[in-house]
Amino acid sequence: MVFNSSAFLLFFLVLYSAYRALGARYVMQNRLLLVASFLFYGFWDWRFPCLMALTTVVDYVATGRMQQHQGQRSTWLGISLLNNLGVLFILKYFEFFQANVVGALHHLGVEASPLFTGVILPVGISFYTFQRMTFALDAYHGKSLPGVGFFDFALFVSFFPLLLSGPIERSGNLLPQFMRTRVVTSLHVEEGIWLVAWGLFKKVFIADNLAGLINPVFAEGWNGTGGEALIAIYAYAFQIYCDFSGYSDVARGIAKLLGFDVMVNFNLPYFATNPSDFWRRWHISLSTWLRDYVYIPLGGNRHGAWATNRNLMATMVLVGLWHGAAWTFIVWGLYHGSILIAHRLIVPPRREPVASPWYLHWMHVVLMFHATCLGWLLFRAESLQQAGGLFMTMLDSVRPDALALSRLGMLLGYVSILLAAQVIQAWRRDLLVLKGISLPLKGVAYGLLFYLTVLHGGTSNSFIYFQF
Amino acid sequence: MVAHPIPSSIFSFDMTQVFNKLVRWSLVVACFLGTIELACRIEQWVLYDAPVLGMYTYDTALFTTDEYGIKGKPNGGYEKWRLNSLGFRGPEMSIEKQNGTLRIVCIGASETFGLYEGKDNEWPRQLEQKLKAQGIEAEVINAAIAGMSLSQRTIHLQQRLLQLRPDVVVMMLEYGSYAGLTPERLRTQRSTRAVLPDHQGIIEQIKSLRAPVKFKEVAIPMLSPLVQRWLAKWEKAVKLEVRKKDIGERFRSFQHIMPFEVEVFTQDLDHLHHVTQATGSRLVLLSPAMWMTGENLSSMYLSWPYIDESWWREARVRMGEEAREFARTEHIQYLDLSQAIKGSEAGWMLDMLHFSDDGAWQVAQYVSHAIANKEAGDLAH
Repeated sequence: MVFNSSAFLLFFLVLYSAYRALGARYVMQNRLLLVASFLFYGFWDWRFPCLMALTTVVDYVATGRMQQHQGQRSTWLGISLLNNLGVLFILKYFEFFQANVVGALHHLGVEASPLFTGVILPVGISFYTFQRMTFALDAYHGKSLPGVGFFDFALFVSFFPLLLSGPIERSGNLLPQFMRTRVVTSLHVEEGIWLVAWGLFKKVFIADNLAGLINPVFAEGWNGTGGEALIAIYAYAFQIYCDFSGYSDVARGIAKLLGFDVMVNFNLPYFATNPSDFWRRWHISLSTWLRDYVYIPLGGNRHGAWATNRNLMATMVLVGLWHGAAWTFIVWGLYHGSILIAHRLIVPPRREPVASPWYLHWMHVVLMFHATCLGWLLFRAESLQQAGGLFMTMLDSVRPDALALSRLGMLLGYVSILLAAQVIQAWRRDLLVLKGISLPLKGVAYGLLFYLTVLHGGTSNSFIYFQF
Repeated sequence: MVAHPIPSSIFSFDMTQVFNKLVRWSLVVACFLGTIELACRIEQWVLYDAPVLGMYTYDTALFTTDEYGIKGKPNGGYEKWRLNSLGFRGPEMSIEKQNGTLRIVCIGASETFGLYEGKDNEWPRQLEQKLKAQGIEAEVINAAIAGMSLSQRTIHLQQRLLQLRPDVVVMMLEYGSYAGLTPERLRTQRSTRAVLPDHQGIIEQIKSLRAPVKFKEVAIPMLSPLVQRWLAKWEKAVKLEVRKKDIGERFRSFQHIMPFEVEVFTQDLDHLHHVTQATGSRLVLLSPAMWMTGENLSSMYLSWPYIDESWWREARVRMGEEAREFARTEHIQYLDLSQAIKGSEAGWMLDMLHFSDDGAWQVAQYVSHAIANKEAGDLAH
């Protein structure tokens, strides 16, 4: 069951009616949300919620013991990490690891057969695992919340709007909201509906329609021009952004409708001027998670340039690996680590931000966008060979042929409204700038979004980030 | 105990607040719906040159009128329907007939034009494919116009189609336009230039709004089949109620077929026969399929609100017999679709008169065999 389906609409309408009918009885509301979240997850496969329930129990017990027995904190943290990362490794990375080991042994002349194959990867496992880990890690660092009941914790892990593709919330932000009466104001409803409408527009109209420009180029046997490949990469940059940020917007919107404030996951990432700026704007919940729980514990930038660069690279490789068990993702992480380090070497970080002339600022934006696009080529490609082949095709034969121009026209057509809105947001430096428009204009905006999303939307029953 | 009256200022304040809220939200809803409608109209203006403002349905984009009445708009197009430069549904063609090609002109109303079938699945188009598959080099021209009566079709044939020198004219008969015919009405009908359908009724007015039509086409199929069926039933019931209110007492007022109606029908057949005979074309008459179930008959009240089901049942028998007899005496080929297209076959008919893709396939099959046999017979003879 995905957000852009009639089944979800029905599910949510029923749930929301019951939820609002419970008024201020937040404990009952939490129980309802918990049942709904497990049902929502069970729509994919009945085994997924079972696994989630089991690992949640283990984690809750481990964290509880950690709080009760200060002397055994490390042991219980180890058990919690084993529970989280162990399951993640077996389900997500084991086959990749196994295939590479078997391949390496084969090169050494040793024949080995795989232990097991065909593991089903539960959808959204990386998201809820990382979200759950914040609870144990915070408890280990003495930042645990008092009085968190099992059902509150289970709801924190399984909260259906965030379950499949985040944002990866922190226990310190979301859990307290579960543990108090929430007030759903008309502002919550208004903001929630807007986020849902805007998110669905990005996903259904932009991302799903752009698939037609991208998929043929990455299909086996494609034999087109460099211009076509270049447009496909540009289109993919917008597709992945609209698909993922669209999901995040809908998730935040649904949470808002239920009375919860969830963190912003994207802040105009393609307006970034350099690699570190990009990672402050793209998938913010993951990048801040890795900053707080990996980069800083590794030493951050406190131990000199070499150690900082090492920590950056390690964190970025982890970002790549988090996305999937494939060499393309690892190389993508290495690429981003490299450009982060290169940027630090070329432009050493300053304490005070330096204002640059507007033309220089926009040149940096364009340059960074193209650097990001190069990364997306690695990210989208089925293999490193394919990525290399497409890159060479682009170098060999990028010219404005008729096909490339027509596809560029289509791409601009699909993203024009998004770009217009984001230019205003970037110019005013306010993500909520459109909130202040007059009521009739709001009616027009909703009308336009409805027309494009419902009457001209693409058809897809999945989101790209579900696979991660 | 003293009763405290409600201060009028509080009452008026609340009312003002409620009124203001109502006005504001009405404005938002109006802007929302207006934007969708405008966007749909701009899209259709770009795609089909349809008017941005004003009431229209598919017929405005597809049909026009001249001194002989309604006709297809040259190069007209709307959604799945495409007309060629001569205003006929189908591929481009030349007026001059190629040697050795059997040119067939199909004339009828919406069921021949192919209002509901998918692109290139209307029965005349399928007929051409089938004849070709049987080794007959045939060119089938779909000259049908949705909503055209039998007398209009004869004029259409005489004034516009005979220049194409068809070898065969396949005419699908219709009975509905004879209902309630009186000498006075006939005089008015024959003296008035045929016009495009008006948009006076509430249903027609709703139909001429583009957003609901577009929404129905795109969004409804996304729903589950059960919900779709339920919505279709609900829509039909609402439309029927609206239609009843529109028509008032005259709703289903034509209950029995009158001798005058049959007489005019026969006259029209005779006229049609003379027109085709004069140019040496062979006429093939095709009776309408008429799958009469309670469900289908109730759907008919939406497009033929004055005609009661008893009239349809009588017309099927009386006019069918009349057409058969006429065909027999004049040695015209008569194909009875009401026998060939079994309504009980699931999925062949969408309502009493219109075919699905499968139904159109059956019609094409039936007509192609009849034509092929006749051609073979003529050659042997």
